[in-house]
Order: sequence, then structure tokens, then C-alpha cells
Amino acid sequence: MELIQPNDEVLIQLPSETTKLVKIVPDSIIGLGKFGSFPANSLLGRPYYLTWNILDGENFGLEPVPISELNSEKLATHTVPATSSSSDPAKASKKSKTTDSSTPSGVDSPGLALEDTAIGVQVGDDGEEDDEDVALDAGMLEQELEREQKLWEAEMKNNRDIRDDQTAQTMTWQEIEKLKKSGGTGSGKEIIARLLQSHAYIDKKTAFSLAKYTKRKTNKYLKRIRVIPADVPNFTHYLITQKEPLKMLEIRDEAMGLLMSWADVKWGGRYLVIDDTGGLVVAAMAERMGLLAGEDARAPKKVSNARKRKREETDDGKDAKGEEVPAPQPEVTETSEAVEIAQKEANDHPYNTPIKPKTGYEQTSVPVSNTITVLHTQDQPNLSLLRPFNFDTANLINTTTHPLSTHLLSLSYLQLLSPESDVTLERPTVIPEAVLRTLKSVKRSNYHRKCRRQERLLNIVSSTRRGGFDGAIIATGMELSGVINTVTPLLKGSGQIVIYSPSVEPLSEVVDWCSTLRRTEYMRIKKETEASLPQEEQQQQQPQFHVLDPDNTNPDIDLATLGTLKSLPKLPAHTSDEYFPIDPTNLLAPTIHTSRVRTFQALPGRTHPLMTSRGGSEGYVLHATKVFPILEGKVEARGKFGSRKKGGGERTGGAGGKKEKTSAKLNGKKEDVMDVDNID
Amino acid sequence: MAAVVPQAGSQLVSSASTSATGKTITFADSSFLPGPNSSSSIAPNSRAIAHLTRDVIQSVLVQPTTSSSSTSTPEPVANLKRKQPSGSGTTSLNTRFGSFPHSSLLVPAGSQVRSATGTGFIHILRPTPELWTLSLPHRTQVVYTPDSSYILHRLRVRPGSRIIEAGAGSGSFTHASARAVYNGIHEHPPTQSAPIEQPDGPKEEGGETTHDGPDSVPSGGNPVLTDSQGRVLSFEFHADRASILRHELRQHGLHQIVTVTNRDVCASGFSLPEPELDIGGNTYATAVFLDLPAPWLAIPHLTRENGSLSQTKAVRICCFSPCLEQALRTIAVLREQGWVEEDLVEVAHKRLEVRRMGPNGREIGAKSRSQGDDEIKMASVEDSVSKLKKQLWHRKAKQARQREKLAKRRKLDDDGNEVPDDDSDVDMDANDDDEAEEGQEAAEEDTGNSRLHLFSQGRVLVRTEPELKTHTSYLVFAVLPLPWTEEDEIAAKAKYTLPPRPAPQVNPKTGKDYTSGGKAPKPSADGKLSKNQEKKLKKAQEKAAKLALESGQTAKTEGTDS
Repeated sequence: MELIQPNDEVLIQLPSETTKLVKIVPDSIIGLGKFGSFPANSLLGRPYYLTWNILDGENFGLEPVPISELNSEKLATHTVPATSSSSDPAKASKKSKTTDSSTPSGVDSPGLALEDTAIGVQVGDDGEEDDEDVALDAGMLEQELEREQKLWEAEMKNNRDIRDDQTAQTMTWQEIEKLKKSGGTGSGKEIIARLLQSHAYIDKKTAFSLAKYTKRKTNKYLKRIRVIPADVPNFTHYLITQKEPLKMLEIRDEAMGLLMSWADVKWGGRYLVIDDTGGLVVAAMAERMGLLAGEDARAPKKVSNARKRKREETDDGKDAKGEEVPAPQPEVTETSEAVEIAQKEANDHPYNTPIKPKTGYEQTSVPVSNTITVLHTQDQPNLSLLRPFNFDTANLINTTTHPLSTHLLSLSYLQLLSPESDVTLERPTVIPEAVLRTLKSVKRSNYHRKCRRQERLLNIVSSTRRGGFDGAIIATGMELSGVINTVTPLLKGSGQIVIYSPSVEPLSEVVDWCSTLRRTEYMRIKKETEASLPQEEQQQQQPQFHVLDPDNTNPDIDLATLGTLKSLPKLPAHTSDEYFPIDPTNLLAPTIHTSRVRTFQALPGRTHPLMTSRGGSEGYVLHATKVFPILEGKVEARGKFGSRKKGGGERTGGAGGKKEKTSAKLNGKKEDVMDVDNID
Repeated sequence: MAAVVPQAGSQLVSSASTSATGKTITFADSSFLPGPNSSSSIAPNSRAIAHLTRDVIQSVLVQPTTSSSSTSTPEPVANLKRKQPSGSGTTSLNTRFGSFPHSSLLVPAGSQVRSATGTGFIHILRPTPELWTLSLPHRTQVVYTPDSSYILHRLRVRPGSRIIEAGAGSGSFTHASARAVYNGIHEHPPTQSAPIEQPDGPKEEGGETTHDGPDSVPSGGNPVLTDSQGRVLSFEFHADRASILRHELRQHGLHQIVTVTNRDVCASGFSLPEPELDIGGNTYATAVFLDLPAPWLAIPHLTRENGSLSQTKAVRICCFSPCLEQALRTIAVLREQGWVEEDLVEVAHKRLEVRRMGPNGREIGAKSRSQGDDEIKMASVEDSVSKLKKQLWHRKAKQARQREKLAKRRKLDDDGNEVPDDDSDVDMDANDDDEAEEGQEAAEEDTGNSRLHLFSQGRVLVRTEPELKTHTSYLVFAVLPLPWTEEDEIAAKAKYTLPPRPAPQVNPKTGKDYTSGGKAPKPSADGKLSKNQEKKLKKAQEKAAKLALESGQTAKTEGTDS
């Protein structure tokens, strides 16, 4: 069963239509400010998406609100519960069918839709609703028209006679307070009923304004909350509306969906990520790769001593917020415990933690599939937003069993591009086994931990430099040319590179860097320089690589590690200049998308798009495909072809496909045009 | 369990990993879902995407040998008129950029391929649901990527999920959701007894030879697919469309993930016709996507009681209807049926085009260069003023010359040939100007390599694609929570007993209740309270204790955690 478990992070929707991220710690009290508080235990073991009344006083706790009541409130326009919103499916389908027969195309008048939901407009005759159940044949249409007429009449009421002043409501606040104090769920409802009764103009209000009024009062006097899971879409919505949207680059669900789809994120793939959203993109990917599901991804049942102590030390338990701070050294006493847990876990789930039994370094080897490799600028990646998903990079000790702990790999640009100068790849000086045994357990496990860390990092660096990634997702404010030049060579052929940007300018720049004119020119220049160079030099000149730099090599790196680094494949490098910031031949058809959802208020007779919604950045997604251009030398005689191509590019570059074609035919040089056209 | 991934460290294409239950999880043999060890090249008899231009993308089933294509793929439905994306039965892909023999397409994915005659290029890509959406043969209106990506995101379709899709149509959403639910092919070792039926039943024979590689299905009966596997349960009431879709899915190696059922769900609900595989007749879905003309007729069939919806999880639904009336009606029925969180949205998606624009508002390089460059030079007010000045000067000079000539002519007193000569003079003058400018340009080109400058001239502008899809459909989302009865509530209360309520912790000055909020006075960093804080807290506690005593409650006045 999908129930709320101890220590789960959940989102609570408040009556004020805001949400709050709450950790359900057993035996604690959850406070919601002015909406009161309730014991956490009254949510544990309950399903999500239920609505609860917060009870105060004697029966301190929560009380479920039946869904039928909720929905009937929505469907009704006055406080009398709509009798027809019974949950009898047979009746519903029957009703639907009969109305359908009258309008076969499935396109109904709004009036019918209204009728169907039995919106109880003040037509005076409450008994009418019962008539609905009687199947009507010939007379039905007439009746419906009549009802529609009444409906419109009801709507014709307006606010001409309503004066908006203090005297309209005759109920005093003292009375309200008294009712409030009486406690129980009844009190809220009673207040609302009394408020409606004692409103001077209540029968002059239109059905819709009455509904609005009732809703406002409901939100105010009925302390209703709904608990929803903190999954990626819900969490995104919470962040963008209430937290710091700038921190997660204002990435909305639409853009996230596009990112994940175009990057072809799926179970079993290998992806490269550059994530300046604080880990939200990683979380979304992990969700799609099944790395946030299952028991292992749950919060640990017991908060271990280490964590508790930590919490006390850091005063408010918000230690996870120190993002740029290197991961705190795990408490030594706990390490062995963690290893034990990991081992046990590994036995239970043989695929989660690949084991190298001999070394005992369980997490050092790197899975070959279903991995997320995070490239980051600092020492440590900023993945603080993974915390609600029970993966806390700042406090890994309790998350060793989390699927992400093995499948999330992270390395810095330095470690990728010049691992030889990095300090974290230093192997601790070897302590012989005999000496090791004599050491205190603290020191011993410390030593093992260091070795493990070094080995794992080395494995991550090697596997990343070997490339072959299925796709790359980039969500960053950094200059994109460098990022693209780093990432593109690591992708598989036909792999997708997908970039998110809050604003369009950085992306349009990228598209411009791959424009047809520029690409044609790039290829021309490349060919010319190749042709001008003597044969031997060409071989040296052509591939540009990131190479290990002997001058900057960290002297403390041991020979074995250095050997491994040297054996790694060289990364092709593109020297970007003013005109060609990226190699325009590697990316096929970069395309920018933007998508925005428009939400509607969906109430019968009152459906319209929401009046306001969040502004800020639109959010743009660029995707392009990694391709291999034809290596001319291998295919055909180079010189002749090159000169032809040059002509074609000059003459027709940049024009629309059709135009090019005609002009090409005139000139009898079809192939050149094709080339240009294809590239676009 | 969903995080379980086979460690395909061995050389096998689909290296199986066996768990304690004897279940094996393998990577699907599908070009849409490549495993870590699958070849990076396009394999024979698999789908590839030919990228011609940004807007022209063709799919091609690469079949290098004629023999296989002629015997294997009889069209499932011959009478259905549909566009053949790639001439099946032919051995080459014919595009407007030339002809490409299938054997030439067996290249690493992402390669540029030259046509047989050398007349053009295409790029050969590995298929993805997105590319397939752009290249598939349309049988119905297609659900495009902006919608499908958003829908799958909001429906929380994850590896291991089960999604019902009703109204499969052209299969665009089917492919996207197959990728989303995919968590490997889970199978028990084949049992020797009871031979199991073909997964897709007898209706579907066509595609067998097209895909069954030597390693995809062990010979000697189908293995039993197990329950933890993600699945798409697809329903389509049009028999021909259903069988074509089955055929395609088999070609794409997705048939073990998607089950296509030919059924009118509005009339007969969502149970599977015969207990297919071993998942039984119930769908137990956690996500539902309805692309039907009247979804409100199908929704009453979606209940936990009849086994169509998951028994243990909240279920999410999305209904895709082009008309607002349909959407409203759907919402009404959803509300009646006890769904919550209903949400009506519309996805507005735009594809953007990036151009370089000269200051004259024209695209750079779009027209013949002699004119284009000229106009680009009029980039600013200054340019314009100076150019006009120049023209004026020229005109003045011309007039002066004309006047001179006129004067001469009068002097000469000869009328015969003067007039035409005069005109030609004017023309010549104009030509002189142009020539001078062109010469200047040429000089610039020689020195500064102006070709380089051309693509970085003007500015980068963004505009929307020429043809916008301003409306696709209205999306109705809703969630069906798990049922929660009074008995459940009582049981849960018994399991998680409420702790004794702590005494209210009240700020004596403001009378604010701090009991639960995060604003209670915090101990300072060293773990001790400041004196002032301590005093306040003490007072508050005393007061609370008094109150508790007075009211005759036996609630323990426990010290707060500080």
C-alpha cells in the first residue's frame, strides 16, 4: 500500500492554497501556523490525497473528509448538498448515455454539461433534481431547454442591489468566536451556515458569487488540509510557487517533461548531467530511471544516533543546507555500521550494489547502466534538493542503501578534464595489513574509507572519460560553449544533448553557432587548412585532445593511478574562437522549444482560464543530436569535392530549402545544395 | 525493486541477471530501448530514422536483404490506406536527396550517409519515441511530444508502472509510455509444462520474422513474464489500427512491454480479454490515459473493485479531449466517481526559429549577396544620412555637369545628337557610383575575409515556427486516492497511537502558541539557552502547568525538548 510512512517528507496543501513541506517524524506535532497543529501520528499509515479536518480541543488530531462531500461542495453553488452527486456509477452512465443520444457527436451544449453535473442553481425547485433520474425520451429535450432557460435567468441576477458594506453581514465576530470555541468539525460548518443565513443580500447574490462567497468562508473556517506526496512534480510546484524559484532556474513541469523526453531518459541508460537547479533535474531523472522507487529509497526507519547528534550540534537540523560545504566526514563509529547495512542490503538486492568481494570496497566500482553522472563546478555537487527524496548528499551516512548512492556519480570539471592535477585522486599512503591490524578501529576504518573514496573516484573518472553516454542534460547559467565542447565528445552517436535555460538568449546563441552559413564556412576552412598542410603534419594537427599536463600533475598521485589515467581515452577538444565557439559539425538540428500550460477554472458554467498565473521566465529547452560528419578523406577524392562544396555554400547558404534547390538546378550542382540543406 | 538493474558486465547482448526468486531481468531487444551492450550501429531488421532536414524526418525499417522482407512482412491490413514511410519490400530508401540502399544504412547511429549516386546526404539516427512521433504514419490525430511529455510527467509514469492507454490511435503515445514504464523484461524461466500462448494472441501473426532475433526469445516456448514488469495496456476499438500497431510494436521490439487489445472500452470496460501472459485479466493500472471522443463513458469502468485500477496505489488519470465541452463533462463524471485534484489545462507549445537578421530586417544570406550587403551597410541613422548626403552630392554634381553640358550645347547650336548622348551620360554616372562602391566592397572582402563576418553580422533573433499548433487538446487530470474507510482509520489509529499532548508552550507576552510551530525559542549554538530565554520558557511552562492542573487534566507536563 502506498501509505505515509514515518520520516517521509510530504507536502501539505493548506486552506490558503499554499503548500508546506513537512517531514512526518513520529510522535511529533506538526504546526501549520494559523491553521493550527496536529500530531504527526494521525497521518502515519494513511494514504495520500485524502482531505483532513484539523480538530482542536478534545479530539486533537485529524478527521478524514469524505470525498463525496468535497466534490459535492465543488459542484454545488449553494450550501445545500447536491443530492445528485451520488456516486452511483450506473446512474451516472445512464445519464451520460441518454444525454449522449441526443447529441451524437459528443459535442454538447454547455447547458447539458451543466445539467449533468447537477449544479444546483437557485431555481427554487429542489425537487427537480429527482426528475433527472427518470429517463426521458421525447419530452427530455424540451425540459432541458426549459431548465437551461431558467439557468440563464438565474444567472441574469446581478449585483445591482448589493451594497458592499459592513452591515451586510449581521453575524458578529463574537458569535463567530463563540462557535469556534465550541470545537469539533461541526463548528466550522455551522459558522458557514450561520454566516450565509445572516447575510443580508444572500438571496440577491448570483449563484456564482454565492459560490465564491461560500468557498471563501469554507477556506477560512474549515481547517482542511490535503496531504500529497513530495514527488518531483509536486515538489517542483512547491518550489516554484513558494520557495526560491531562482535557485532551481524556475524550471516548470512543462520544461521538465520536455527535458526528460527529448533526452530520452529511461531505465537502463547512462546520462551526463550539469545541474544548477540544486538537484531537481537529477531527481526528475532518477524518478524516470526508477532510482527513487522501492523500499531502498525510503527514509531510514530509525534516525541513527549520528544523525541525531548532528542535529543537536547544528542547532536546527538544517545542516543539509550547507551546499558548497564538502560532505562532512561520516562519524567513524558509524562507518562500520553503514558498511554492514550496505552489505546486508547488497545480499538482499544483488543488483543494487555491485560487489567486489575481495577488496571489500563495495561501492567503488561503477555500474555500467542506469547511471546519472553529475558534472559540477565546485568540489562537491549542489544536490540539496534531493533531500526530500531521502538522499542527502551532505549526510550520506544514512543513505548508503539508497539506489542513488551507487547510481549517482559525480565529478568536477577538473576531475574530468585534468584528473592528474586533482588532490582527491591521491591514494593514501599504503599501510601494510599487519600494521593495519594493530591500529585502532577508528583509524582503520578511516584508512579504508579514504582508499574506497579514491578508488571510486578513479572509477568514475575512467568510466566518464570513456564516454558513450546516451544523452546529456544541461541546466546551467554557465557559458554554454565550454559546456557543449566538454559534453559533446562524451556522447554516443545519435545521443541527445538537451539544454534548459530560463531565458532564450543563451540557447539562440547556440543555434546560431550551428547555423548553416557558419557550418559551411567551418568545413571550408577546415578543408583548406588540411589541404595546405603537408601530409605528416596533418596527422599531428587534426585531432585536438585534452592531454595530461605533465607540468600540472599533482606530484602526490601515485604511479598506479597515474598509469590508469594515462591509459584513459583522450578527450577530443575543440579550441573555440570568436567565430566558432563550438564545433558546428557535431550537433544536428538544434531546436528550441518552449511550452507553457494554461490552467482553467473548471466549474460548470464558470469555466475560464485562470485570471493570474506566475510570470518570470518562460523556460526554454534546446535539443540537438550528436552526429558524426562524413570523414571526407575516407569517402572520396577530397580536393574536387571540397571546391565544389565551397561554391555551393557561398552561393546558396542560408536560403530556404526550396529556393536552394531551384538555384542549384540552374547551376547544375545539385549535390552541394543537398549538403547545405541537410545540415540545416 | 524498481531500482534493480542487471549488471551487464558480460559480453552477452542481453545478459540476464537472476534474483533470488529465480526471476530474470533482461534488457529489451529493441532499438528504442538500447541496453548498455547493444551495438551502437543500426542493426538489420530494426527501425532507423533518416533525418533529412529539421522538418523532414523519415522512418525506415532497415532490411538489407530482399528475401527477408518479401517473406516476412505481409501487410497486416492491405485495404487500409496509409502512407508507407519506407517502401517495404524495396531495398533502398528513396528520398528527395537520393536513393540509399539499406545495406548502406547499417552504420553507427548518428552517421552521415551519402546517397548511392553521391547526390546528397542524410543522417541516420537511432529511433526514439520523439523521432518516431515525427515520422510515424498517421492513422489518427497524433499526440505530440509537448503533450505526451507533460502528461507522462504528471501521471508519474515510472519504470514498473502500469498504464492504461485507451484510444491507441497511431501509437505515438504508446511508444512514449512504453519507454516510461520500461524496467527491463522480467521473466521466469520457461516452464516445461503448459505451453503458454503467444503474448499477443492468435490475431497477430505478421511480424514474427521481422524481429525475432536469435536471442530475444528462447526457443521452446515463451517465458512467463512476471508481475513486477512495467506495462502499457493499450486499447483500440478500431480492429485494423490495433493490428497495425501490434505489428509495429513487434517490429520495434516493444511487444513484451505493450499489450494491444482491440476493444471498445466505453462499452466493455478495461479487463483484458483472455488472461494474457500471467498478469491475469485485470489491468491494475496506476495511470490512465484516455484519448477517446467520450471519456466520460469509459470512466465509470475504471474502479478498483473490478480490478482495472491498482489496489495499493493512488491512480492518476489524464483525459485528452479537443473540445471544452468534452473536458467539462469528463470532469463532472470524475467528480461523481470520487476523483480529486481535478485539473483542466491546455499545453501551449512553440518551436522557435533562430535567424540572423540584418538591420534591414532581412535574413542574412537569404538573398543574393550583392544586394544584401549593400542594404546591411545602412545599419544606422548615420549610415543613412551619409548615404543620402552622398547621393545628394552626386545628384548635385550631375546637375552641375548637365548644366555645363547644356551650356556647351547652347554654345554649339547643334541639336542633332545631343539629347540621347545626354541620357547615356547620366546612366554612366550612376554606374560609376555603383562600381566605386562595389570596388570598395571587394577590397574589404580581400583584406578582412568578410565571408567570415557574414554569419556573425546583424543580430540573432528568435521567432516562432511559421505554423503554430495553437490548440491540441484540453487535458483533464485527476487523482483517485486509495479508499479509506472508518475501519481503516480506526486500525491506523491503533497502530500509530497519539502521544500525550504536550503542554501548550505559550509566549507570555504575545499569547502566541508555540507548541507546534518552528518559531519556538531555539537554544543557542552551545546548546544552552540564554538567560532571558530560560526565564521566559520557565514562565511559560509554569503557566501551562497551572492551566493544565486547573482544568483537571492529567496531561503530563513534560519539559520541552530544550
